Amino acid sequence: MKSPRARSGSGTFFLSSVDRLGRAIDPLILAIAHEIGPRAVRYAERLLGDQALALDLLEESAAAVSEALKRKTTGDSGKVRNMERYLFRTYLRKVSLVRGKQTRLDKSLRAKAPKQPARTEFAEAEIALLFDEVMATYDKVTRQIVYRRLEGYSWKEIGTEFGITTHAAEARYSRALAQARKVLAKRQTPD
Amino acid sequence: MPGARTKPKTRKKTLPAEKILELGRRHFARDFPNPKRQGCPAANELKLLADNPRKAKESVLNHISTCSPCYRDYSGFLKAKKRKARAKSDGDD
Repeated sequence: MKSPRARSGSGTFFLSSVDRLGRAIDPLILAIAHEIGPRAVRYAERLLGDQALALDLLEESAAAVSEALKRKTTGDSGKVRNMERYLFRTYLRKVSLVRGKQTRLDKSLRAKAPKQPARTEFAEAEIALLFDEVMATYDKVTRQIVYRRLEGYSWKEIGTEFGITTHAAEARYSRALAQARKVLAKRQTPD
Repeated sequence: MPGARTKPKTRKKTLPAEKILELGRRHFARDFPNPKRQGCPAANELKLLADNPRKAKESVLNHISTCSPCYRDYSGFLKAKKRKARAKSDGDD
């Protein structure tokens, strides 16, 4: 079971003796990992923006180094001269691999983003439907009031032209749009 | 139930009136291209619709809601009329 971790910012933290892939960490390597941990994790956290990920990677690096150490003691390959540096380099390699993946993912997401319809496009489509609904259902006068309003006529000008009060002109326009909104909302949610 | 907490209603943000008008104008002016001008009424009929809305034909009114070139012409007549009316009212003052 993993031991609880304290925040690296507080100065001390605990690493588990097993990494997230279930590989055991040699006690010597674990001690070195604790030693280099605060500095290394702070550095990785700055790059990756995630402390938990930085700690996971340190555990993975420690487990990988433990396995390598085991192979080196049983086999005939050369000894590790500076274990601290060896672990740190392994850790940096893992961090840069993850960082590279994050960068590629960000890049691909940015590249795809413009293809998706923007919020304003949805608003435009909604407004287009709204006016189409008004034009398809309303009487001659209301439709002409809407056209005049679109062209920047004041309520007073519209009222004078149709022989109605400014309030009546405004009411006709608002009622038509509100009614069209209701109809569209009903169509979108038929239940 | 009295005192019971109700879920706050989330109100959908609505666009400002000016933006709605702008989008509506753009919709009619661009979304119905009719390059061959099929079924378009004569320009004087569009002018009549702008100048004397009560006497205009319903078919012309129906047509401009689905033909962007005619809408743009009609919009031009409406603007010209508005300019004229405003100039006149400014002159009267």
